[in-house]
Amino acid sequence: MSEAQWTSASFVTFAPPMPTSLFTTLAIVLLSIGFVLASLLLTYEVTATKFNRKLSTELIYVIPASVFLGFGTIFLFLSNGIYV
Amino acid sequence: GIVFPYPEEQVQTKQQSVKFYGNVYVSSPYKIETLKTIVKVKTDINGATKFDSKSTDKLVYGPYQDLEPFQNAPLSVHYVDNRPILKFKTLHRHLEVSHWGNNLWVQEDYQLFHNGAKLKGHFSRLDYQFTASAHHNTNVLKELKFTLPRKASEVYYKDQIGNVSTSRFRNERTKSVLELKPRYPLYGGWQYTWFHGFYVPLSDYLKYSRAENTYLLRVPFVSSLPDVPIEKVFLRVVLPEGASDIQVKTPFTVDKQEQTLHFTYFDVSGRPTVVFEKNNVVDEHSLPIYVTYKFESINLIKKPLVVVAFLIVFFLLSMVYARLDISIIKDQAVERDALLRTYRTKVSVIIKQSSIIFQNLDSIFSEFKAKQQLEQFKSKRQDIEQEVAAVEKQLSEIEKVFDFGKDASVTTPLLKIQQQSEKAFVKNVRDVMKFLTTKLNKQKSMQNDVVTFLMDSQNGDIDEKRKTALTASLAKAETEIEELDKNLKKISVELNK
Repeated sequence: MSEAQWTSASFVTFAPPMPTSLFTTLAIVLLSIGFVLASLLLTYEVTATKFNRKLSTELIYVIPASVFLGFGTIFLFLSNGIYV
Repeated sequence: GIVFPYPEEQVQTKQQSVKFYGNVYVSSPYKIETLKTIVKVKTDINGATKFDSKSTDKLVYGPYQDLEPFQNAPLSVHYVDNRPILKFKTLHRHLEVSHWGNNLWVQEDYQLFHNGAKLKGHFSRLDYQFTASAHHNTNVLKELKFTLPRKASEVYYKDQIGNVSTSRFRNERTKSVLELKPRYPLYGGWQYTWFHGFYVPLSDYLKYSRAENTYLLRVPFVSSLPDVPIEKVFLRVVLPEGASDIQVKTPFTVDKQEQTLHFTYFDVSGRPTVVFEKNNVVDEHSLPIYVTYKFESINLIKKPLVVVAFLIVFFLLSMVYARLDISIIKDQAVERDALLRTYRTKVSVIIKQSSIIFQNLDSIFSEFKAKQQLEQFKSKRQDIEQEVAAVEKQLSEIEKVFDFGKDASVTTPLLKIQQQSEKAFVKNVRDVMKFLTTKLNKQKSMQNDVVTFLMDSQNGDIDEKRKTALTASLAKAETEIEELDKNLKKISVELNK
């Protein structure tokens, strides 16, 4: 029965969510943007004093930096053969 | 029929002979009228049960007449066969499905046992090397040839020590061939344990039905060497995290089948895994098994989000660390230095803002020169004067912050140095205030001169002498304003150091 399922028309070949050739480019691009944002966060932390450090500006750096670095790491793993 | 090595032990340099045990007649439930048994042996025959005739590679038994059902007479043929009789004691086969990478990872851990004539005596490396041309006349195993799928890639061959470099891999038109050489030649009674693996495109093994929203995975149960039985097979099929409603169909019964969780890269809740166990697996078991599961695509995003969450926690911890103050005594010098640095940045921002205000002043004056609307110009200039007054107020308040009063509180050398920096800063602030007011007044007087000249010239009085005097005074004022701008810039550079 399952062989019939395999050959039936209702089952189509699996297609991945995105073409695998994009992995290296995406990894490099996302990680570079992420590192730039992370270094902006670092400079803000170093130059701000306890009187003028604001949580809102910190979060504006932290959230995008984490998102870009997070997605960049996943594509880094995928581009190097660790298919997570 | 059954084949045994006989003699059961053999020296390194001699041939292996095997004994075949069978039935002279056919084990049939019917009476047999005539029967002739022909045994074909391609190599040398050492001995056999009494046969009736013989030709080059055949032994003929019979013809026999009128046999009873299930009649049975032992047939044994003892002949030379140097092919190593192999078996795998265990095989651990691991299949991992990755939707992100469109990839199926296969890894097989083998434990190979040479089941032929056991090596008698010790192994002599010298004899082994000198008799290299005669290895085909002994039962030594030097190389194994595995057939992998055509699109296999990233093939590796390792054992407990590490990578085994004695291997060859090639992609052919219909299949791929992996030729493995164990680390040492295998003689009878010897074992070798290793693992090898490869990647293969998932789209060759996985299909999707949109109507039922299920994925169908079709993979062979085993795919190893022909004619080599496996005593115990452990098959593990790892499905992506978030797979649910898993159904399995096997073409034959398995001894054990259960669903567990497997944890690997970036997993939070674990990957559903189906684990099979089966004893005594042969070539006929290389049939496909089918696994169906439901998988929502939203689960794919879980992987990057795990990393993002981890990084946010990391950055939050660093924010906490930046704010952490574990000093026992409040250090005056450090506190005052922090305050000074705060206001330094504020004042440099104020200087930048003031340059924008003065640019606005220039632009409204050019507007007046173009449109000659005096009242509009005067009211706009009033607004700008108010802005400058507000800036001056900010600066004077900043000046007040650093009025710490008694000098007696300054005791340590660090505090004395700090006090010097603060005094320099306050002087800078006062200078900025002075420069801004002077600049504004000069601009205003310049502009008023030009306005009166333009008003008079409209009435018709253009005195050449007056014109030259005006241009001279304007030039002088310009240089003075440039001087002020230079000073302001110097101060802002000093503040940013």
